[in-house]
Amino acid sequence: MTSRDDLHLLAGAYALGALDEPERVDFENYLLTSEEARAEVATLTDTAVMLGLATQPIAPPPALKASLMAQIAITPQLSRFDEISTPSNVASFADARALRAVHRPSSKVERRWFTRPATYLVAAAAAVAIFIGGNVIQSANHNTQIAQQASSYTEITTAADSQHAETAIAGGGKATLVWSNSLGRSAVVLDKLAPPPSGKTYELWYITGSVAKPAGTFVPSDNGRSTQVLDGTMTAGDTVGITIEPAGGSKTPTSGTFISIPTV
Amino acid sequence: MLELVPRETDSNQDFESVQSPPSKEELLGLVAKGDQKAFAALYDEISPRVFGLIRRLLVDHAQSEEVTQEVFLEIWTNATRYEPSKGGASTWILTMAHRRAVDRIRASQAGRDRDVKIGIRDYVGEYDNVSEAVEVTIEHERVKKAMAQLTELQRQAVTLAYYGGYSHSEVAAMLKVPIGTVKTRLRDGMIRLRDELGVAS
Repeated sequence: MTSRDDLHLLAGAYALGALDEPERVDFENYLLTSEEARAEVATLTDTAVMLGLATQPIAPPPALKASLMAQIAITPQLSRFDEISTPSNVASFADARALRAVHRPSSKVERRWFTRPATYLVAAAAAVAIFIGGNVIQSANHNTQIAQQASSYTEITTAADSQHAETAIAGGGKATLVWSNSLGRSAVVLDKLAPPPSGKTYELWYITGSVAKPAGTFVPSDNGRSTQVLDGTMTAGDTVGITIEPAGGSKTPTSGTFISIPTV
Repeated sequence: MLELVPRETDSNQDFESVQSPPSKEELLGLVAKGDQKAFAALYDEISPRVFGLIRRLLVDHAQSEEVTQEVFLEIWTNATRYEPSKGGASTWILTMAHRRAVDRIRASQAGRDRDVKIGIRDYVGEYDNVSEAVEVTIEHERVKKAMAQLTELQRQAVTLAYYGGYSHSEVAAMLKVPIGTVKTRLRDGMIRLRDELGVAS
């Protein structure tokens, strides 16, 4: 149970909270030594959170809030610099999360698990380039953008005023728009979207009246699924459009909207 | 408007005067400074998700309330440790909620040993019925579709571990498969779910 090969197999169980205490400690020590493992655990923890969001929300009884408000009024908070007394799943997840930046995990995780570090870095860099290519603005800090993209989706779907609407994609598949007017953000979830023609890309737009603002470009993943948080700010009542544009994207749409979803 | 806000040192950050409501990350930032109103606002936004998840694991209403209370107290005391650059507030909170629920389950192990002996059939059957009955949220629908892409063993193992709070050795006993197989199925099942759900892209 102490070999590294055995330990890496525990990533799923760890993200699901299914390890016994001694194994959890072993695994967290192992995480300190493996960037691949940290990156994998970060994405699997996010996946576990999706499982959590799939449960039905239930409002707790009002008395619970009253009791908590009374308790916090007399409960001190940890200072920013105190050591955390016990190793925490949450803390190590947060640390791992930062590392996702360096290695954007992909469906190739399993295959590349045992590849040599140098090869791994090249593969990871390529994955980042594919994801970023034509998407968002090429800033010095791609890494932060990727982490933000993943977490923003969760924020939009869990906003108190989160709404969603779906539409069929011409030629098969489904597009679902999730948005929050209070956050001014939205994301599209695409299912069975065909890849764009060669040399082209899909581009997202916020359409206010007759004005279309570019909101990022993307290419769906191999399995036709894609979750894209739109760039920029949404105005309540906007329509979200998707067009096919030359690679790199356009400033104004050069083709008719291929998919359009109103947010009213 | 003037009002007394105990323990609040930075009262110029009055989030209610801002036009659009603050994000959960901003609220947590205020909570880290001891802002009780921000804590109340955060509670209003996220407590149904936290309570719903904990109820799903613990079933028992009274215990679920206790654990929900523990989780929010932990949010209060540990908000100083939350770093927005490392992930969303909901992710931080729901990961904590799941962990606390699992801790509670492990602490009352006696009842669970009996469950393990009874076996999985009843449990998974019950899960499927519940999932038909609940209000369909977008996440629910997506997760259900993604779950359908798993093998039966992967799905049962992931369901028992996450929604049942069972450890991998308990899952192995319930499914009558070797522990090594469960470890592998939990990992490849989660990787499959991640890819199906498009997490991290």
